[in-house]
Amino acid sequence: MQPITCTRHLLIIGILATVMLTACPGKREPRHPAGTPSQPTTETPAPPHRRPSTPPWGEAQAAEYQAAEALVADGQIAEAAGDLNLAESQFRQALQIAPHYGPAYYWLAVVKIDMGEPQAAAGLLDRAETLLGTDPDWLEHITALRQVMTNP
Amino acid sequence: MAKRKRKNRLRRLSLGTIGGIAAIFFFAGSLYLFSLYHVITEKFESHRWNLPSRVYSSAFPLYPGLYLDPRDLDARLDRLGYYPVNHAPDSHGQYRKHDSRFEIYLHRFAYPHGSFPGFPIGFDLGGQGITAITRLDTQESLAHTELEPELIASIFDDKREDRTVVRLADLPPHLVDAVVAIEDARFYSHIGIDPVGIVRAMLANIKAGGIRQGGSTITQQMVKNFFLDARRTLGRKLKEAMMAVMIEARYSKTDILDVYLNDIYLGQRGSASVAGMGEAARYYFSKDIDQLSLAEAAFLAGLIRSPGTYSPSRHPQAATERRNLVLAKLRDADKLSLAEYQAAIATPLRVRTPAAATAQSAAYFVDYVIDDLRTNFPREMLVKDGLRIFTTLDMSAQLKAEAIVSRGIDKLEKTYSWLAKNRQAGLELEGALLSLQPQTGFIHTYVGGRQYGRNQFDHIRSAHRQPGSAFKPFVYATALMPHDTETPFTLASRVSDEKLSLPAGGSSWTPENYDHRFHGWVSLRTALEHSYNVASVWLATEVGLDAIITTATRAGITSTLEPYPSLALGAFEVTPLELATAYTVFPNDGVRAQPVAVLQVITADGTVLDRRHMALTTVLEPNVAYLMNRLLMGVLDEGTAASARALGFTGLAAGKTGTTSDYRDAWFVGYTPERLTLTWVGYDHNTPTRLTGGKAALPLWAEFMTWATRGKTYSDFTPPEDIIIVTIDTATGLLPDPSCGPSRDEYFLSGTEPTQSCLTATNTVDRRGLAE
Repeated sequence: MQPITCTRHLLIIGILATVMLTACPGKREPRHPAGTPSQPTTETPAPPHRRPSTPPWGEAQAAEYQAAEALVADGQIAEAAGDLNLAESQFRQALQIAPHYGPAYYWLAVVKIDMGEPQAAAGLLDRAETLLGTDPDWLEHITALRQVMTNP
Repeated sequence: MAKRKRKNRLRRLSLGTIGGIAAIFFFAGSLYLFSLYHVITEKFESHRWNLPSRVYSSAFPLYPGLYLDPRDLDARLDRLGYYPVNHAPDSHGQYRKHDSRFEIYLHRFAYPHGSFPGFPIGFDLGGQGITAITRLDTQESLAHTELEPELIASIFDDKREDRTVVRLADLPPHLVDAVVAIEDARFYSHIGIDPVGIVRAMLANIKAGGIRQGGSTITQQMVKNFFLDARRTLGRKLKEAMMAVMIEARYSKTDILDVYLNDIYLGQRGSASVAGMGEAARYYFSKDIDQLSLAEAAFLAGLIRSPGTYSPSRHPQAATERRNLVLAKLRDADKLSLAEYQAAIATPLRVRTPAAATAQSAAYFVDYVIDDLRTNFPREMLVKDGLRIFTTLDMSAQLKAEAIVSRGIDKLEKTYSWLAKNRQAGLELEGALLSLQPQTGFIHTYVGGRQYGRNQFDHIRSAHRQPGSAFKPFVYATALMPHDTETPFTLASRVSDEKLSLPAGGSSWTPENYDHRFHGWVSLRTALEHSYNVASVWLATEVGLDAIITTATRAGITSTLEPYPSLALGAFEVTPLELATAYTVFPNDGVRAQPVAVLQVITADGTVLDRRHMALTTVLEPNVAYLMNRLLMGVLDEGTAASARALGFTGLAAGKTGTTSDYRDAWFVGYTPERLTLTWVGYDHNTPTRLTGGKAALPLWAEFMTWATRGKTYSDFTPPEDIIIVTIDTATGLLPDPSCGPSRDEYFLSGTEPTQSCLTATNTVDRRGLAE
């Protein structure tokens, strides 16, 4: 495993603590695009249009997200305790159950960086950004983790 | 005098000769004994057995709200060796089912990330899935738990012995007592051979008029099994006796029992033998050895004499009598109280069903896994080191998919006379089904062919076949990509489906449609939904063949693609695995997920040797992927795959049929937001099937996906921010007007929607459908 410097460790812990505070179960939904879509820049008046609706959750999907949230919460505890194998397994299971659950990608990326496998984290962070990037808090964490990854 | 001298010389000579011969014999004997000793110590103290590596499926998650068919749960529990009881489960492996209520005492399991102790859980299984899960011993409410992974296969050496090595210290004392009581009551007092036992066996055999009893001690049996062969010759018996004495002199009784109990043959699982008590406990009772009850231990001890004769599935009465005999011997040896004895003989002999224990499935997948691991784990290592390989396979889905492929192809051969004739001529139609989670790339099912026993050729990763129209989405995705210099195509753009001749190798090539007609200027949506070849080739030449190759390659096609116009019609061969990989970009917001079969490889003691991770690569903009999803949904709703609805698949899905020239290959690649499945049907030697993808491959897909998505309530793909819906005039793709004709809603990347009214349309249109 790649050695983790003290500064880097502190930075990761800081990010994790902040994200833990913002990723409480029930607080965050996986993806709810915010804001109105940008208007077309044509000379003629914009035609009437509407946004496709974000699909409502079915009961099964809501259940999957709840299970994924619980697994991510357990994984965060394991990660904080330094049990990276268990943490990785919990985050991966969360994705197997709810593959659109953004926080699981983020946390899996965190564990991969902890494990000294930053190359495996890049794609996971991209996915996290796609799924969570409309939330400024998450975007900030994702950006910060990218910096950790590129400037260890 | 001379005579006496000669006599003395002769005597000296003969004494010398005898002495010499004796010395030679002594020397040779010593050498022989030394070589035996060397053989014994070397084998006894070195790596004793080749331990097969084991391949496991994915664990099965349980959580409140999960939809689960009770029959599937029953089958899964049966495969895992759980058995029903009519009381509250009080030991690992038991479960009780009452109406919709399940109570399961989970097995212990050693995961790569740690040991799971196993505990009792309870939940109701209603129409809406699992209700709250409760841990029954603590009354704690659980947000999630899981059923342990299933053993898919063991990777054997030529001897095909399935063995789980256990330490004598881990064995329940009643098991050791039972084995000694029934096999060799004087084991702790003899020196490897037991003259008393031999005489008694001889007398018993004389009295019975045939061989009824053996006089072999446990040490002799161990020598025979571990060092020698099964021949019944005097020489072998002598050698066995000598080695037994030497072993007794060199090693402790504990060492001998340790080898004996791990080595002994105790039954047959398919083509593999069940070797040792550890494996037998798993095979017959799905338990770790230390969990065996007294009655179960007595059964296994009784089995040693003849696993076939006392097979509990074939001869349950004989097996029970034998077990009871062992229990009686234990009682007579004061190892049991009368009450314990009576309780044990009153216990019904319940073992795992042989069908569940011997199920052979996922053979193509196992081959794929072995090949996938080959670089770091050569086969010699896999058959010897007892590694544990954890995979992504969903065993229930796998079994279902195997049945669907087998039954579906049988049905095709019965339905179409020409296929039946081919079959009679010895030509077997083949098929494949691959299903994965597009977000992670985790392979859930992998059916590489119709029947592994008859054809081991893996069509998923080794069959290079033309994808036909199943390749077209990469043409359309390229067209929808925002380009730097010009406005991209939209789903409403007009494309030309008029006669087209293109230069090809000095002559010209004229693509044709399936219905041998041209359809004029049609929308891009219509062109793909109905899989128009001419329009697709026209579009490919418009967007550029190199650009299409770039898109397909980045998406995951690794086979060679050449910039010829026929590329648009899927003329270049790919494997089903490549094609499924490439399709992951659509449901996964433009991100390719490389297929993952192996998650982790660990040693028997839990050290992680290999850990795989998801490989995600962004290939398309999420908005392009979303537009493709809307487009490919139309294929199922209104296009060439609309028959999926008649076949019973009613859920939301997108996909594309594929049929190659001369009908050699039939494909369907389709997906929901969370599961992607590819099906292929064809002949190995390229004989035409005369069937389209919609006729041959789609039914397999529809049946599997109907099963796989049952109980799911997903409504749609999630739209990116910059996607808008605009109502357009159906005929022109421009903004509607009541005087133009029917209109419809269409999806656009914001900024690419039409801005002119259909009233401005002329007969001449540009590629966006705008009037010039």
